[in-house]
Amino acid sequence: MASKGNLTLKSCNGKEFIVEEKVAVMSTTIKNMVDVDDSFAQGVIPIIGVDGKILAKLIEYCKEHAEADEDEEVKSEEYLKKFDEKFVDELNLNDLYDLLKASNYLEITKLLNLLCQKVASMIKGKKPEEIRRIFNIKNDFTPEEEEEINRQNPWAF
Amino acid sequence: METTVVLVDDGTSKLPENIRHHILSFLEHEEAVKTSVLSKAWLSTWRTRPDLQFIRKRVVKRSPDDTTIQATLEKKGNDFVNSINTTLTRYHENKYGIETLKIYLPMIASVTPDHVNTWFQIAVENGVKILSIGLNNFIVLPETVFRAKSLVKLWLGKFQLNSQVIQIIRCHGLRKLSLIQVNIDEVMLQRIISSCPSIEYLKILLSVGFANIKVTNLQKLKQFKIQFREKRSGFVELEGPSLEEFCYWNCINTDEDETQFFPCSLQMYACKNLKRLRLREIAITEGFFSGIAENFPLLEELTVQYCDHLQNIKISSQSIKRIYLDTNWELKEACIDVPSIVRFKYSGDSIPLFSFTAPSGPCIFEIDLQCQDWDILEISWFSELKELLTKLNKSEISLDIQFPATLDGFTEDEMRNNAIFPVPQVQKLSIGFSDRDYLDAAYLALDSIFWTCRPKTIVQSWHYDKVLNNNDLVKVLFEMLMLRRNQQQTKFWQQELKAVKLEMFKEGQRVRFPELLLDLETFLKSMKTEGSSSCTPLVFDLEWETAKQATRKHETT
Repeated sequence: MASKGNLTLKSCNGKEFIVEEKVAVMSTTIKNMVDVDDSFAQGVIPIIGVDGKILAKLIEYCKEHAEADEDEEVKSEEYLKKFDEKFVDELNLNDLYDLLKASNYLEITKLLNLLCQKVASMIKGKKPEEIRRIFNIKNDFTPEEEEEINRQNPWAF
Repeated sequence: METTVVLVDDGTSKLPENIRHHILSFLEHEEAVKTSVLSKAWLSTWRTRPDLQFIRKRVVKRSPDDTTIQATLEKKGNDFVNSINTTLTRYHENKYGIETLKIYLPMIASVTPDHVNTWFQIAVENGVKILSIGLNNFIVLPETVFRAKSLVKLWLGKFQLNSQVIQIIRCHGLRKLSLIQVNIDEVMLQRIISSCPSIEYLKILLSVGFANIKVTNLQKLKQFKIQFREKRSGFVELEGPSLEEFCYWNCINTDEDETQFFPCSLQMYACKNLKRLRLREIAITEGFFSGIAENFPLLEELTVQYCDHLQNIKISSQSIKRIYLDTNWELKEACIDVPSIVRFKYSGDSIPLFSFTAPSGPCIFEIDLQCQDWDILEISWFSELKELLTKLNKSEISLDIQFPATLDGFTEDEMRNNAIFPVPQVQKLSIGFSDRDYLDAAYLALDSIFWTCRPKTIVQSWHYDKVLNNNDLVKVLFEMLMLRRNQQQTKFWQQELKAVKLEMFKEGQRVRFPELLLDLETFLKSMKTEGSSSCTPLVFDLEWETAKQATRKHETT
């Protein structure tokens, strides 16, 4: 049972995390749940489809980005930028995908932007073949289909 | 040899489509197109993307009578227009959402009103928020656009907006409106302004069809820029409680017949949050300046260009940090009582009588004197300049002078008699001549300059010499400074000049001039070997006796 001002989040594989409310409501989805139904604020909030490992990562991010309390020092933009860089650099591809899905479902906009930007930066300046290799994307076009797309390129979509 | 291969599934294709759309939004259009060939999932993402962009602005060099190239270009243009039709029709049929539609076709003349109407209709039906369209030919804007309730940003280039055509406006949530080179009647303009109270950014540039504009109901307006292309008389009335930046540019009077004056008046009320104000060729009065502190208590930057008929101005403000005055008129007196100032720039062809309240911190003064059109520059001009520089002597001064071809010479006696000590210091001096033949004037000008101030560095202001491919100024500078040879017999300033270093800009860096230079010939030769001509930016770095030493010397003589 969480004390006042704290919320309990439960991952899909049964792990529970007690977090401050201001951290949890970085997620618009959780914020709406708490706002609409008071019982969530008292009990346990199930986070569907997100396992303990990913939930821990989400909480790590939200803790850093939650607004500072009155008695806390406001974090500098530069500090947060460095934290963000380190955060995304340490992710492997599977975690990156899982976090993308989780932050999309939980509507943690800042994190979703950060992760999408990371993927975009991995695409930028590379040839299609390189991009496929990085993300292990399987080219599932038939040669005829591929020819058709190339014919329509660059602007006829 | 053993290798461990960790197989990661193609996670990108399993992501929800909206995430892949979001990823595309962080890529430039050309980068984003590439993702369409990756896989079927990515192709589908590309084909349903909510941000649509069709831009074709390549300028192809061609001779106008080459009909085959002309025909190919026309065909390519038509193909491009057709591709827009095809894509938008697909979006329409499948009801894919459109967030952004950008179409920019300044090179394609074959766009018809029917095309435009269809595009707008689809965009509006599919919920467009950002619409940005620039065309090659003036087309009457259909009413559809202003019916889009979802519209947040609208950018229109080269359209005709007619109050007879556009009767209903429903885009009440519009926050950003840019009208570039449009033809819009006054009724239409006022209709838009009164129907879109959420506008925060308003830009009307190089547009015609209206004389007056009244912006008084936009409570959220933060930035307003208006620039006219044609000479007109009219007024701007502006009330903006949230306004932070206002630029009002009239077209510069380039006519020979300057007797014809087009008054463009300006009325501003309740703009207490204004931070930046830029006015060009506007009929403001001296009273406008005296009201600045009261009317704009937060103003930080003030730019006034070519506002004729002002003779005396007094600017008094605690908040202003930057002032840019650009005059081509007879400004006689300017009183600048602005203690927070950090940058002051004056450009003009005469030197008004300035008075300054001492800045509370460091301030950079840029004085830009464009005297190239004067018949002759007299001694009194240098006296005025010296007086101004003396007033600013505690600040960093950067001085740029364009000289005419004729100067009134000094005699050594005149110089001594008119001398003020200590001679004011200038951090950076740029000089240039407009005339092709100015060799004699250059000696005189430099002599007079050294009588007027002590520049720490001298650079050649190259705009004219570069065009004329002229080395004269460099020659004169080299002779006078490096060889200490002077046509005039005025040794006056030479005694105080302790050392001169010659440097040049090479790839953006300041480097020492490579060779030990003994005579003019070697110097000019080495300038050539450095791959340079008159346009090489040379820097003469001067070390002067300290003011104290110099004064003492003059007192004893």
